[in-house]
Amino acid sequence: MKINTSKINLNKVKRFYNSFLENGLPNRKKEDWKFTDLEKILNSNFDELEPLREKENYKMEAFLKFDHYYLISINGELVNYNLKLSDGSQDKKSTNLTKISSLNDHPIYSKILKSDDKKVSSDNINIDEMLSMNLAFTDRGYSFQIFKDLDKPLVIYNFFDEKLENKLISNSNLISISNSKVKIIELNIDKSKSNYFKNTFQKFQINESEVDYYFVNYNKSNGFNYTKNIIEINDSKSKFGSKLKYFIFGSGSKFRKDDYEIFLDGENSFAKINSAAILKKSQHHEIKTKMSHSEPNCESYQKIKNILLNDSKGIFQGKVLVSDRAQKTNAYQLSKGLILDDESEFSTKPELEIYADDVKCSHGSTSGNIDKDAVFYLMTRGLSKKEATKFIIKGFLNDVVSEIADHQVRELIENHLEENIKNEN
Amino acid sequence: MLKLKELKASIGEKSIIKGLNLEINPGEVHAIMGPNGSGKSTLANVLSGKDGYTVSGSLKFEDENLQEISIEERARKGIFLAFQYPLEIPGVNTSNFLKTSLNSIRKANGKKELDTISLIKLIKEKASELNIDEKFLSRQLNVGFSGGEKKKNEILQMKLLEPKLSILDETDSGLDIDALRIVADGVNSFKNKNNSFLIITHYQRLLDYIKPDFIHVLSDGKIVKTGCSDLAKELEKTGYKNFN
Amino acid sequence: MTMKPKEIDKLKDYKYGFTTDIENIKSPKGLNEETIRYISKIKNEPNWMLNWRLKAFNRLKSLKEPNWQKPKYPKINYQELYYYSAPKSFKDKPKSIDDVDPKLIETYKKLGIPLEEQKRLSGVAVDAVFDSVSVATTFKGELEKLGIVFCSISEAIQKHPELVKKYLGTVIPITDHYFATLNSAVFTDGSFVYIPPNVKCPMELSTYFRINASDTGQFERTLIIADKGSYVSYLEGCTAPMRDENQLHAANVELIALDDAEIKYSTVQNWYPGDEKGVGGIYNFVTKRGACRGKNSKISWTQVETGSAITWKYPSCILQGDNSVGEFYSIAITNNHQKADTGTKMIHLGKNTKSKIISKGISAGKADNTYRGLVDISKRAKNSRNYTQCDSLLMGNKCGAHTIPYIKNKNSSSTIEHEATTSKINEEQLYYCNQRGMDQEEAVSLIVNGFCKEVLQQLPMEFAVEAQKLVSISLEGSVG
Repeated sequence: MKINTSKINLNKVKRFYNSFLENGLPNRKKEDWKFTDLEKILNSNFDELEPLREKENYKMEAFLKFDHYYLISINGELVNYNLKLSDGSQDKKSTNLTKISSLNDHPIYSKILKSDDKKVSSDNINIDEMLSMNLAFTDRGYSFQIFKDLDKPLVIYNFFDEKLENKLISNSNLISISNSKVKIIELNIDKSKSNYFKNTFQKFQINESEVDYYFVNYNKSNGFNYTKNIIEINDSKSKFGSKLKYFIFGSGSKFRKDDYEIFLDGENSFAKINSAAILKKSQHHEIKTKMSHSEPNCESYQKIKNILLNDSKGIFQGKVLVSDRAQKTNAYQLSKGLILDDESEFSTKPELEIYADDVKCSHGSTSGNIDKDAVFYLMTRGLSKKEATKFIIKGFLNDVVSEIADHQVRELIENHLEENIKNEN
Repeated sequence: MLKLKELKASIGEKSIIKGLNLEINPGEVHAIMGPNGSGKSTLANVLSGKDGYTVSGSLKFEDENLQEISIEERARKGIFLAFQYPLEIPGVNTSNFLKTSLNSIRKANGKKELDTISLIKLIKEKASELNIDEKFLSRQLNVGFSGGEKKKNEILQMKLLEPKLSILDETDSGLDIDALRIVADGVNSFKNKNNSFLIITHYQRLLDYIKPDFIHVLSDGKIVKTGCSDLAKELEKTGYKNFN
Repeated sequence: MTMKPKEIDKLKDYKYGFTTDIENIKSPKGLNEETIRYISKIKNEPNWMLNWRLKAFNRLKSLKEPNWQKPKYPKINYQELYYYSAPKSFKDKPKSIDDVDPKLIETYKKLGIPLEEQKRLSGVAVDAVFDSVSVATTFKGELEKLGIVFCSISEAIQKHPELVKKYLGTVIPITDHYFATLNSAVFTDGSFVYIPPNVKCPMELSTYFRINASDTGQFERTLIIADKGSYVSYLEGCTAPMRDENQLHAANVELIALDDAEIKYSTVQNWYPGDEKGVGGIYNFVTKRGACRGKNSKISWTQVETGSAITWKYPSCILQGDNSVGEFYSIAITNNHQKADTGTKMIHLGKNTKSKIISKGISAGKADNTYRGLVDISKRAKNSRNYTQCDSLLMGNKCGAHTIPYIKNKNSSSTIEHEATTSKINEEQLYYCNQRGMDQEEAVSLIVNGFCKEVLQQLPMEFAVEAQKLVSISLEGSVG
């Protein structure tokens, strides 16, 4: 696979581009890519990728029925938004939104651009192959800050249109939330019907806040997605105890690797990563997490549930890192795969790296088929085999869904998963 | 034997025992009754030396200041606590635990350590007195034991270790009537003029079987009333509300 | 059982730390073809064996030392090592136990190994490897009556070349990885076991390894073949003197179980771990692998790893035969500056294969303890199962405990269950034991032995008692 750079100016980002060329795409020889050989996957699906440069400026409508704020992007480009708060205020004291069109607009990238360092360690950022690639081509994204409680959910609509055949989308978003309680729903609505590769870099800064974040792949897509998320949970006032609940409903994309690095940097912080997915038709999904506990009394929970069929691959690589300072850490991780046919695979690498003694850390991982006794039991109660199977699948995923506190969001997700289960058989 | 003067104990900022006076002489059975949260279990923990409490006041056992002494040394001097919730220790077999415990205490008191054979004989003897099946000796300590079995195991340990002062922390809770009787018989058969008991309980029913010489009512960290066995019956009728 | 404090005091220091003053014959220093020819010649090996070694050596030239493991170690200068060292009196190999240098016998007495025939009571047949050569094998006669071959690998090369040729390197090929290939090139001695069809070996077979000479690498090679329907239980123990320099031990162990055969392999590894500051100690880089080649075969690994500066090994099972079973029971204790990166691989290839992994890691002082494991159920290994339980205990705040499992399930009829926990010793349990009169050390020893119980009970009796003591001693002084 080649990247066609004939139409773009790489002057300012030459060193990132060169470093990308030098290192190439990551492959399974890299520990982090052991289960997902990106080099091989992209090579067998693309001959050439062309960096997307076109910027759409038509508008799209927010379509969710309940009352909400919104941001709308098309192919990663921010096009319209409504962040006017219910009390009428929309000033720098409540929210702030900036559109990113080049690296110079980007608070972090502009810093990296100016520095000669290979690594920008202060921001928990490590310039690896994927970030070099992102830095070389990023031309879109948004950065927003929230300083005040939002009385309604904020929905981020990401539309992808028909013009993406063999395109490379590179974007970067920054989300910073302080002293607020917010609910954010990120929806991917893909109408492209074509193969493209999207390489996204996102950073979240959560400060003295409580954030519920829901990422939902709304429909089927042929897109190949890699997203790196750096999430910093911090408190400038000490011991407030910020909370993040992050839900991933990724069914849909042909290929996804969602990489999360979560830094629990404030005492008493709480982080939860939950995912439920139904994978089929050669889908390949990996969720990779690194939960870094560096302060005492923090809690983290991870629960990953995959249903796998028709030659699909589900992967979870999850690491819990507890530094010697992080006493009284509570960390739990669970990954479960329900493998419905012999063409599918579930691989996990749940990892604990612990340097503090007064901790409770554990993980569990199971995989296998549906419990035949349970199917039998349901059939004796009058359900057909098909119905019984669906019933069990729903129960399996409900373990994650039932943790969604907001009923509007829960309904949305339930419908989304229901849709996926129904299309089964 | 035990003398407590103005005993106070707190966890962090929260004070739980707020000036408690109590004297127990050899051969006496004392019962402490009180509502939930009155400080009963804290008293048991403080007497055994559990970490995490700030303790002040005078705490003497056979004229020795207990406060300077570690948990195991107190045990070796003859203070025994029957736990309200006996701990499960996976992988550790019960007879091995009993052997280690008994020999630690014997050694500290200048007695000869028992070899496995005489020890097993001794344990079996005591176990049969309590109607405990021998098989339980090879089971893991308290793992998978029912509530009643755990409590009987505590009494077995008491009889084996022959302490001077036995503190029974709600040993009656979770016991059916048969188990209660066995536990009470265990205590009664062990009781003599040289050893003493401190029975901590919420209800009067254990006191139907073990006759205390004194009953103390503990409320909000202090003994608010002391009487003889009639007091328990009165409490059973009127509850603790009069003492709040 | 628990240790009384006094006993622990006695054993507090590494009691196997003595050296034996024996004149040695050593190969020339350095790793080269000449050394390999020297080893092969002194052992009077046939040509095919020399060629096998040279092939491995050629392969070695293109290999690099692996670097993915967690414990890092200073570069080993392979040219400064001796690859062969033997007590001088061995040049003419002793015919019977009476010909063995009395100093050696004394050494083994100190180690508590029943070398002499009269110590039959223990009922354990022993092969002892001192530095590079096998010293003596007991109970040989009785085993021979059953057709069991239990001898040094050097002897097997001479007397049973057809068996060695057929099986050597079939589980760990000479191309495997750096240390395994190095071993194939320069291995000096080790044990060989062959159990004929339908024979249940009536006693435990045991090898005791001892590194004595300085600057010497120990590269022993063990090959165990359990023919159809046979059974053998094999024990391995290791010690080394205290020396300031690090010593390399890179053994290869290959197990082969044919149809309906079972091999039980137990290790109590107590190589010198280095001192409290982390000076000296053995680098234990060992490749152990078993092939359940026949249907209904079973291989079970049990290991108690308390010694070595660095332990780095993954006793594995390749479950080729249908209905075959692989088991791995492990206790790894690290204290002071010790590092361990150990675990297993269970490769399910046959149908209805089962594997079980129980790992207990205990880390104290400034040590670092990693469980690393792979469970791979292939597409055609239908109806297979794995159960894994990894528990880690941390004692103190300067050590680390890590769990890195790789889990792959590639068919829908197979089930994998994996659980892992990391915590410190439960304080309520300690309190309970203290209240029953035990001091901190007794209480910790009791609780830790309980924590390890599932693994300890897999060991044969004689070893289990020794292992329990080791568990207590290894943690001595680590309770704050």
